[in-house]
Amino acid sequence: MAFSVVGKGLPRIDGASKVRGGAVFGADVKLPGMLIGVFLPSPHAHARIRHIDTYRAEGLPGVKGVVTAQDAPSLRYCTPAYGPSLCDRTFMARSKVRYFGEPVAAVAAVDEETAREALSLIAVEYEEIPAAFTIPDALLPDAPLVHEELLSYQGVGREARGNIYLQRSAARGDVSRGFTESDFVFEHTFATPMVHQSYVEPHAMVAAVDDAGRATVWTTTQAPFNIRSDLATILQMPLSQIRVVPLEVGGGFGGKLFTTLEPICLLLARKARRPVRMVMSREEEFLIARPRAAVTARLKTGVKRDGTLVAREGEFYFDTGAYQGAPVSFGVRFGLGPYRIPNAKADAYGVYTNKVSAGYFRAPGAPQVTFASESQMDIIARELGIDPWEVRWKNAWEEGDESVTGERMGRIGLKKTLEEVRRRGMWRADREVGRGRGLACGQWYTGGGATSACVTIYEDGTVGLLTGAIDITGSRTGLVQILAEELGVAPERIVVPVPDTDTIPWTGETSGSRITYGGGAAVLQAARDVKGQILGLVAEKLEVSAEDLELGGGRVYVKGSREKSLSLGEVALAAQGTKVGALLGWGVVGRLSPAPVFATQVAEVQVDAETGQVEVLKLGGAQDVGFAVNPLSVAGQMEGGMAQGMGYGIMEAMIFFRGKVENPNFADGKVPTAADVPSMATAIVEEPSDGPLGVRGVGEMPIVPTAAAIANAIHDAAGVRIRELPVTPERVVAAVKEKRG
Amino acid sequence: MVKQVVQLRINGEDYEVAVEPYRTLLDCIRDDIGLTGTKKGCDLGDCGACTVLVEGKSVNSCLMLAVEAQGKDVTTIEGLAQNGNLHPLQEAFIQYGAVQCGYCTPGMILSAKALLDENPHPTELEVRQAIAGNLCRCTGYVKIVEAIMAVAGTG
Repeated sequence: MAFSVVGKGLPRIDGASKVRGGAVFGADVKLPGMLIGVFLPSPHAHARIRHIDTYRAEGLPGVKGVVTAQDAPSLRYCTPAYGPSLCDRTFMARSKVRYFGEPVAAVAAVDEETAREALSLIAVEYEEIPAAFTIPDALLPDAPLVHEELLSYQGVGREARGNIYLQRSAARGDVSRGFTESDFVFEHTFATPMVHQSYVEPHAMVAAVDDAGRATVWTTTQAPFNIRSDLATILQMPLSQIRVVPLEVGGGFGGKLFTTLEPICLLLARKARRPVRMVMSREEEFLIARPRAAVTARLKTGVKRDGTLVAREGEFYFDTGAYQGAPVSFGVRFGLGPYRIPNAKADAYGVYTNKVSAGYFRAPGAPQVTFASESQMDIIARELGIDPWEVRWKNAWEEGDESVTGERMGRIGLKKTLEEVRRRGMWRADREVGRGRGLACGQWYTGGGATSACVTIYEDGTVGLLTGAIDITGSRTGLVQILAEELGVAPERIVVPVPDTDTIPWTGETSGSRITYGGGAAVLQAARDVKGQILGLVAEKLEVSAEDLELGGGRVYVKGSREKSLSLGEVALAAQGTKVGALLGWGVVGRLSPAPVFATQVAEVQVDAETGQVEVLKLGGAQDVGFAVNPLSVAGQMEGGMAQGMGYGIMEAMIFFRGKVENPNFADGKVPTAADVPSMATAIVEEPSDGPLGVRGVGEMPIVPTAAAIANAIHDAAGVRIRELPVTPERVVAAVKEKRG
Repeated sequence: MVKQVVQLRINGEDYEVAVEPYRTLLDCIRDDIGLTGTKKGCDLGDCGACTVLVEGKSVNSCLMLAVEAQGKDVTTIEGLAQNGNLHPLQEAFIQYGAVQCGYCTPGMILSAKALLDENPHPTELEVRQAIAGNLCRCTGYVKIVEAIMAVAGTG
């Protein structure tokens, strides 16, 4: 089918406002009489709160409100949209603190200086108690319990014990028989650290309460409806009394999926009877936002001499920190790799420790377990003397194959991505001294959460699109392209105001690379709805049958006769005087079945064996996107994802000392700069899904295999295998020394 | 603390504001002047989101005090378009897909402008080094570098 708008690399529709500095982010909202709110972080990783005295802080001139957990009902909550709803979380520490930095109290004052001074006047009496800082600590039989009352929490599973709050398992075949039938069995342990999303915009929000007690919260979020329901639960307010206004997201990557300071901000606004703005400092971002969970993975794999996988068993321990939120089930789903494994078993555990609470970061869970699984595939290939590409090709899923969780593959593009990296010369045999090349495959999925969309035609022919789907990747532009294609209008004639939770029906959060998929389906539905109304009206006006009409160039024509036509503006105007009234199309799409996504990446590195310095020279990736609605945007996602994957591979880690983040800034917690990232090549593979236009999710996939590809390249270059991320110069040097004996 | 009155020339317009001596140029521009296109990402001089031009040189405005900018010519992102026409760098950032979330964009464009004003035909390496103080977490920098090189090529 020939398209005129979709499939083209159009520039983003939000580009102009962003290059002008006019796009409105959370910290840009300013209301009359607005106060500044700040919170008091816990100075201990694990301590009982004996007493909080806010008297002196309240008396400081300029302070308009002080709150503690006592200012809201005592309850534990969980965000209902997310998997196992274990309600272990309080919006602020109540009787004890479970991690360094956990908010204990908060102040609103006329300016930040006054507010911070007030914090220093709050006296908190703590009683420090023993803490569990790491997974091994937390799993000891006599380990301090992060949640003593875990078994009494709402939503707790039968598997909960000690500091293990969640277990997910899946199996097929018989792994022990599989290992017996294997020619070789490999067993390794891998470790990955906690890593912050490091979006450049910190969390920022403004809360205000009107005279009738109705609250409005402006915030940077991927999930305005979840924030609304969390606020209603935590503050025991009627849902209808809360409006959440989503603003531009200055980088999210999953880090802006969850409620953070919004309940505190709203409580302060309620208490002070003035609007309150809270913006996290960069240090606070590292202390209390929701980073990628650290994972320890043990993998045991049995193979035939020719590299055919016979059995694979994986154990994945997710360090969730002080509250649940680590993507444990994804460990099971993605931990064994996208391969045909007749005997497979995966167990993933969520473990509490006294550290900041982990959350979601771009393809949550997958980069961690893929580092393990793809590093081991490389080890296997090299031990067996088989090309790393061949061993993957031999085992790669095809249509009809089934995962350990029982997901049956339809048409998938995994093998095409493998073909593509070879065809484009990203993967090849030649190599220079000191340099190496590494390959890794990865899998992710396209989520299918609900989306609402509404399309209307203005009387000047402009098309208005409202959707609850928050744009973090350029999805607005893609949705506009889909709508433009369907209605035969120029994309410039479509406007996309961002609605709030009052003005658009419920829409799921932006996660799981789902917006062009689920959101695209909703927009298509809305477009077809309004198109039907347009055609019906014009058919009546021109006294022809609706089947004889077509849309194009912002007009409705009688097929074959270009003279007889009405502009969309004329149709909208005409509608006003008829029983139609206004042209309004609705699309509401519920949960769609998830579409699998695959990628193969190749890294080329140079390693200085003396200093351990790794330079990534090239990154190349092939990804199955189903159908690229906007190839420019797709390439941008792939490049950005690989750059983050590179950071994960060799630079990034939150370093903890007794539960305290030691590098809570960009100087010590490094992320890649323009001088660090190499040239990148991207290859788009299009194996259509069952979704709208055949699209598959794009945004998250590219971060998944990069770290493994780089670690494999380092082995290729220097002969050392680093099984813990990030691959720092220290680790390389130590491994080189050990190898030389 | 006693406030001081400073005169600033921002985007060709004169402003007179009373600020505490410790107030950063960034907070002054955003909160006192009300030009919010300049972004705060870290307030520590690490991310470059707050980059502005002071007398044509790129500066992290979170590391400069407002009083230090007394009488100086400051350019923020709002001052780049002329008579409603976008600067070529702004155009190129849109066309080349160099804008994603947009939070680093104002600072990134101003760092690029400072570079091209001084070195109209930089190599790719020079471009990468010139924007190495501006963190972008979305793009992987590929399209940002392409956009700047495209403007350099035509300049």
